[in-house]
Amino acid sequence: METRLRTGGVVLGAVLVLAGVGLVWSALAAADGDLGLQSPRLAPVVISLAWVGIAAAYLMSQFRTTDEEPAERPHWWGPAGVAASLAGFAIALEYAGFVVSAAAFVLVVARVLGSRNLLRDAIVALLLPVAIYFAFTHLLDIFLPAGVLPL
Amino acid sequence: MNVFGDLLSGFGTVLSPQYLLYAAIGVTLGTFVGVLPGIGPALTIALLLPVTFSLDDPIGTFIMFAGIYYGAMYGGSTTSILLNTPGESASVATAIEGYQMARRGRAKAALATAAIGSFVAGTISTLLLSVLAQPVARLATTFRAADYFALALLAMVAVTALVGRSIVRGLMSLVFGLFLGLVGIDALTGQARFTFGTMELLEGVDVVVVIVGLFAIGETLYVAGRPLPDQLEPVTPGKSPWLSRDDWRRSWGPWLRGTAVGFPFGALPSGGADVPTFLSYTYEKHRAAHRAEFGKGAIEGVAGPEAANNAAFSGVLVPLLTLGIPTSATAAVMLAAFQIFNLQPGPQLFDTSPDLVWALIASLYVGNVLLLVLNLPLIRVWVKVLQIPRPILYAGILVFATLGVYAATGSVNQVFLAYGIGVIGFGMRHFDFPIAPVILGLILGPMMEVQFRRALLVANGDLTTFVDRPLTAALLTLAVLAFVVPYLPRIIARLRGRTSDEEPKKLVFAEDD
Repeated sequence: METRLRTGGVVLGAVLVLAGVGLVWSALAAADGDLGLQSPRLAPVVISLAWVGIAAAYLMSQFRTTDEEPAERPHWWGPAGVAASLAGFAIALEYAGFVVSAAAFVLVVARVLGSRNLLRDAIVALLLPVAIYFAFTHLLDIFLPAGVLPL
Repeated sequence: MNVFGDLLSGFGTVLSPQYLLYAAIGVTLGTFVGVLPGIGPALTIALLLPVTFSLDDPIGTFIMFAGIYYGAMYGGSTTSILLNTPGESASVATAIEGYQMARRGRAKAALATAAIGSFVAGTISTLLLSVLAQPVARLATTFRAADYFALALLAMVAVTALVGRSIVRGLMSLVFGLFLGLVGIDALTGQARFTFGTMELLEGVDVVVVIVGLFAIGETLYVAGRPLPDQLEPVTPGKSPWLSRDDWRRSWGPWLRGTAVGFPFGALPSGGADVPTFLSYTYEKHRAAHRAEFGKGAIEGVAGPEAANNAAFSGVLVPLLTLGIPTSATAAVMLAAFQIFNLQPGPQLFDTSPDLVWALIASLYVGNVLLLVLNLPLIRVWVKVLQIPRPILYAGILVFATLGVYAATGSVNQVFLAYGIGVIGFGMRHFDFPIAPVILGLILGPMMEVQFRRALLVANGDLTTFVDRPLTAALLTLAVLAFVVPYLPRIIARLRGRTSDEEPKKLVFAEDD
């Protein structure tokens, strides 16, 4: 059996343990000694302690030998590009409005995901947000920000 | 009124033109979204939740949901058969034989046995639900707080232990869900917990935000990290016949046996339809006269699992409607939908909203019929949906995900929260953490805590209240046993003196919901 140190798993395990310790500290500080069985402060302490324990078990398991297939290595620019586009979409949503922000978002994300057909993407980016906007605001009576367009 | 009288009144409500239209829209929308690769019923319902916000009528909404659910399930089997890309793990068994049938020019027969099997199973299991729901609800009125605590714990622990390849990763997912469930104001005392001083978190973390984040955004981020073909090429059904006489003869047995397996497993806390679909597939493979055909396109391998998949949904509704306990991610989304209308499923629902419950049950029958009537003739449309270019498809999913969260919460901060949870979901997929336990922890955790504290309040702080009653003690024992079951093969191997290299790994009942 091949012995591998799963670096990603070790880093994740360590981050989880640290996050758990932070949660325990936060829960204990809020409890201020009030940890009776019926206290609302008990569950946060119990859950965060369980978090630390399980995260530690996960971290330990990453140092053991494994015959599991290593996870396929993804390229990081794809998810990072999508995440950045999402952030831009959310920020622009209330300022530029749904139609403009969604159109720009569809165009950018389609490129990030590997589309090279600009004309097709532009047509979809134009039609999809407009159709959704009118369907939701006029047919379903759900508010969506109009933004810069006089809709 | 007796069950059949109640059910008839349910039909009286549902069979109005307005509600039939809702059911038809639900089935069509559900199939449209469910057919998209990588999208299961839980996400389909979560993405389509905003469509129902403008309806001020819960009966119409739930009729639409029933249609969406059935449509999503059937859409999942269409994708499995024509594309070999199951949208959820309950369709994996269908993909094995269905895709092979399609490649051999028998796509229409595979689609027809899936649709008719779903119809048969859906009808029988809805009948069982109609008969069982009220007695179980009546029994549930005798449950005390300690029993509810034990039941919620059992549902959560059983699903966590049975889903995924590692209990540690399953438990980590569960604890993350429990943590999310604690965020916000405590239901009994009004004290803020894990809000880190922000007003935005006082109302807690909405289940729609979590589901959209983990399933839609997490899935897209995961896909974005891998090479993506611009367009998928499904097998086209062509002009092959639907079902021959021989296909009918070979299908009806698996339909009935799939139903018999699916319904009880759906009703138990075993994660929904995943376990019964695989059980049905394995059973049909072992007993089939044409065993050599398995792996190359045996119709029994599509008929049985599809029937089990559909029957399990009605089974899942038994604990959801009668006890208010969701036992799969999809049921958890349904519960969230109930809560949007300030309805709390449980034994009281049959007394407080009998019209709604019986209309929902009647709508399951109607949804089944509409599914059969609408979907097979529309198969060419669904094939076109499968051909949507993937980059456009995922961009569209993200727009809908954002729209869903914004429409549900009216806040850009909640949209950012969903994105943050999506990044966590991406990490969970990458490191193979199951997602269903997060949803169950989020929904069942607060319920469990409230019942725990209520039970102690009634018992004056005496912890023996959790072992005094045989029912409570039995439920807690089952929760402990649920942890042992996946490791039984390993324990037995050790008892037989086999070395650690020869030991089987943890039993995996299902990958995820």
